[in-house]
Amino acid sequence: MIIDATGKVCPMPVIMAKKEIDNGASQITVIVDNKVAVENLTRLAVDKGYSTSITELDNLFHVNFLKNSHVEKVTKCDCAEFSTKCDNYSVFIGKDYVGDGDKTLGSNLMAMAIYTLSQEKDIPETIIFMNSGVKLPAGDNEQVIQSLSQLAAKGCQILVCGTCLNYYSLQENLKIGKVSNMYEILQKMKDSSKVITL
Amino acid sequence: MGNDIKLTKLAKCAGCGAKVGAGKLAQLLEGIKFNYDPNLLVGFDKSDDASVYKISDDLAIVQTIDFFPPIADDPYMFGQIAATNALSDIYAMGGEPKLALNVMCIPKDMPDDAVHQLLAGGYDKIYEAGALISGGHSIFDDEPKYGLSVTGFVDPNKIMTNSNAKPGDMLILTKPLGLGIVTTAAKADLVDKETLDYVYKIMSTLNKYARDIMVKYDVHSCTDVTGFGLLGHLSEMAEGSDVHINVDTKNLRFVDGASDFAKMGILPEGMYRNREFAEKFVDGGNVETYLQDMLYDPQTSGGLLISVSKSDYEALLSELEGAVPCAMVVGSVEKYSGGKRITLL
Amino acid sequence: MSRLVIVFESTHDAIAAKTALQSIKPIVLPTPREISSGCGIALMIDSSHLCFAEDSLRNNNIINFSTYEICGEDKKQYIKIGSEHSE
Repeated sequence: MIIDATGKVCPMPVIMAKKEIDNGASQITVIVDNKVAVENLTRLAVDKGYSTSITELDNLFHVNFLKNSHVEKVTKCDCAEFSTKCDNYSVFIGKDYVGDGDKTLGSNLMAMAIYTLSQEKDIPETIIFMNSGVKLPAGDNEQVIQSLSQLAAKGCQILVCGTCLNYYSLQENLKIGKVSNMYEILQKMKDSSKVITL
Repeated sequence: MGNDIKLTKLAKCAGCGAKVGAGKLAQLLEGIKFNYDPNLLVGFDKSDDASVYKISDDLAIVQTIDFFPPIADDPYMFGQIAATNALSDIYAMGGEPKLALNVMCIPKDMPDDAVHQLLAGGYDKIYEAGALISGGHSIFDDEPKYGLSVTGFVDPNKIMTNSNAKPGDMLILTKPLGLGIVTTAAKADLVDKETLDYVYKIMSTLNKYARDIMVKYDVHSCTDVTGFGLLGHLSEMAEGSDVHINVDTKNLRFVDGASDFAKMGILPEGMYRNREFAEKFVDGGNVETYLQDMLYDPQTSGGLLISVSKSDYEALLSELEGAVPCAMVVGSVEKYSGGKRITLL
Repeated sequence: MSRLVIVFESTHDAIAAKTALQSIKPIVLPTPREISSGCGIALMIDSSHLCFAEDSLRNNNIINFSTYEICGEDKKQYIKIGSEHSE
């Protein structure tokens, strides 16, 4: 359905769109003649669980609203009302190299991956190390240790399997992270909305 | 009858939302020659609230002007708010208003009674402030506008500029935020009478009472929060004082319903203009868009933003409670070490 | 502290370079998106080590590399400061 809100003073375009959305419309196009109305309508869309696309035609803006298939509030997870399930992800590292094949390439790839994770704004909630993966937080690669420290400083939890450290006799060598166990590790993975395995 | 007229329906932009953005103003003035006079203690260079001119060692003149389209449907209330807003700049400098001149634009077909009520609102508020309206100027215009040029006095040794905040200071605001958003929503009849009456009451509360209390404490800097929004005025204070400001968003208080309206996109055009000017000074951190929008929201006749020494802020806060619409701690001032001037926490 | 990014044409060169430069502890990272190069592995070093790095690489027969200065905080820019091509 098309709503012509040209010439309408703010906040009328938002009111007109909201009326149709509250009536259950899953798709509407609102035509406005100024950028402020476009911005306001975009905020309305986000609040109501719609995505928008904007087309400019003859100095007018067509703001197309499409209802999201599952309504998700796009908010940053600061608010206490939401549980820790909001868009958090964990990283599972089960070996000290990435992929199969050349081990030198593999260990460089691992150092690069952990470095890249540490530089992003969207850091993982937890990083889990198991089996030969524990050789990373308990090893000598300064770049890896530094990247893990940066992640920890930003609030990422680093869990290192105690059994594995024990197996490789690396308990005394752990430089960063918390010694953990199968129960805690499995629970953390279950609590995350997704788990990435490197 | 004056009650039949709905002034806000005649206006494109509510109140201070109509103000030309700070960035645009600076652009328009570029290259224009200014005279230098050592007696001009506060002029345009620091973007302060009013100008101050020294007459003698213990006397200086403070001058300001403010006018805008209707912010309220009732002409009398509009007059009251416009006058409160115009007087506010004098108080923000620590001064005492004395003389005022009306500035008015009215449509040819606006009923006489409505115009009468409008002027009565202005006169009554100026009278409450202990000042006089000694003249004015009116012209015809499609859209009504009203305000005043106000002249006052201040001791030149006690001027409160907006550019003297010191590291360690605490920042206090004396009225709640969200005024621009709620008055915009009111244009679409989305606001209940109780909330709207409360908003009008806040906008027509003189900052005189806040000023009277403030001058008793170790206040370093002050400004009133109006058309540029909290973040716009904070940016001017931070830049002018060469400091860094942390804003504690959890402490801020807004008029009922403001956050719901903001989430829905009911935002005045002035908000976007303020964002354009002030965003570059602000590190928004993880603060949600709607909350940041509320901090750029232009306020009409907002409260005094006071930068007070840490040792005095609790006592000042305590004395302000009950005497002003609300006394809230907005944040703190610290030394500037590069990067953004303001951080939102 | 200003830093430089060295990018390579081949992954083998990149890995060999990391060993050649180990005394200055280079960071191994993915080649920044802003730089196009033949290989996805790059090295980041402190700019004070530029001369040592270029000499070491040449001494180890690594000649196809380019060096970029990193500028800016949030939005990084990469400015090329030298490149070697095989003749």
